[in-house]
Amino acid sequence: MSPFGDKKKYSFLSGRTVPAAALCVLFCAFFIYLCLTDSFSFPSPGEAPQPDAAVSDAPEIEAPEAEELPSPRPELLRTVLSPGPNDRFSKFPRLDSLDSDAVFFSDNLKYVFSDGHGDPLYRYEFGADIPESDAVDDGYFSDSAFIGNSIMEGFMLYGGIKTADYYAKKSINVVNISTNKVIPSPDGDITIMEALASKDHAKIFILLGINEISFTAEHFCECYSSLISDIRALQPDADIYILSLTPVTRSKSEDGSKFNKDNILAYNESLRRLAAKDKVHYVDIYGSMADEEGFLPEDGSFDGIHPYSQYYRQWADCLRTHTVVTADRRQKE
Amino acid sequence: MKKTLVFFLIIIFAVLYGCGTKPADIDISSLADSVMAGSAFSDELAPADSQIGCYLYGVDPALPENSVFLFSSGATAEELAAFKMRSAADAETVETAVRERISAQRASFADYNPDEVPKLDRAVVKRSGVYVVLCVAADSSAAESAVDAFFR
Repeated sequence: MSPFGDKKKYSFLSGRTVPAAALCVLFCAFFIYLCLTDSFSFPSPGEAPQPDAAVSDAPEIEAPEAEELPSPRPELLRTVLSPGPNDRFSKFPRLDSLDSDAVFFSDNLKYVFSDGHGDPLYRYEFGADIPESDAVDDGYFSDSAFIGNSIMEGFMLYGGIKTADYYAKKSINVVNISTNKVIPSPDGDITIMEALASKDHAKIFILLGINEISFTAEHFCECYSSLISDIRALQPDADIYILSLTPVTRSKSEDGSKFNKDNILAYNESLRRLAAKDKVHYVDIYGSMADEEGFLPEDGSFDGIHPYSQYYRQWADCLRTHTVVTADRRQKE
Repeated sequence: MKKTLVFFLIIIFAVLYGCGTKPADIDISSLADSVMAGSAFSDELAPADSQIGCYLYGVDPALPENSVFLFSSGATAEELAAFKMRSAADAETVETAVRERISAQRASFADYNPDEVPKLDRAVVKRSGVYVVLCVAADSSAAESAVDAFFR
């Protein structure tokens, strides 16, 4: 018996058997070499199905507990309201004497508004620029909602304030904010107003206007005022903040479209008057993003309208240092 | 000899099968950097927090072992997302979420900026093993080539 079996039975392989085996050995050696050098990997045993990962709730950001407030300290009031080193954001209003019996504040000048809002500590008129103050930490925004358009979407992505709720989508304007279902929810997409109604917020920041640039300013403000009324109906205890429109680049401003500096500044002035009329706050974020000539830098945007990410961080810094500092209404009673 | 031949053939087929199913470990951050370094994107993409990225994609943030999200300024539909999941089944789930994201973006940009819709139509979606990658780019061929280099 031949060591290779019955030669007669395998006669069709005679002469080819040894070279074929040698070829197989060479191939195997080659692939084994590749495997050892990590160029390939052997199949792994099928992975056991993982149980559904427990949905980890986002860590709750607890608002700081309300502090026991000391007696009125007028010297701190002067410290708070002195113009800050960075006057770029601050247009400091004149101060008159205040009713100090109504004023309470703590050393670190941070407040938690357990009932939503209180009275301003300084003479402050709705629609006026909010003075610059010490930066709050982002826990301040944990009871806030930011609503608006694509630029508010950008703020959600790049502003760095992760403690707030965001209800924003491209194309949103003062009219379709109540009708377009753009916010995902467990029961399907809902409108921004429906999302706002789902949870109590102490502060609501609104950025709208760039998609409405073809409206007349009057019509825009009428719609905006109606929106404010609707928000108040949903969130009666919330402080409402109108955010100014943001700047565009010089090239965009001069391309003949309605997205120009003059129109935007006119809209912002109308929003300031609206804030005064409807008794809501107005925050000028335009200045936090514009250069000395009032434009978004040319290298600051792809299309001249949507800022690149670093400008959203400047906007966030502006919000952190322009908070409406009020006394907790409970303290007065 | 017959048994020897069969044995070697089994080895060969086993190795070939193994070579085709599981890619080497991929550093998705390096993948993203590589795609970004090329000419695929016209807009400036910036990294976004994983929590926000998973929210926008409708993905449970606890599912990915690792994820990378790069979004545009908002002016364009360009973006890049890369996931390393814990199982192939999870990767399949995320691929579905990615395709739903593309559909939603397409509907959104159809009114907002129709010029961006072709980029979404040419979106590059790759799933291999536990990895899922999406590129919506100005130059989808360049993006696909850069991604494929990591999956060879």
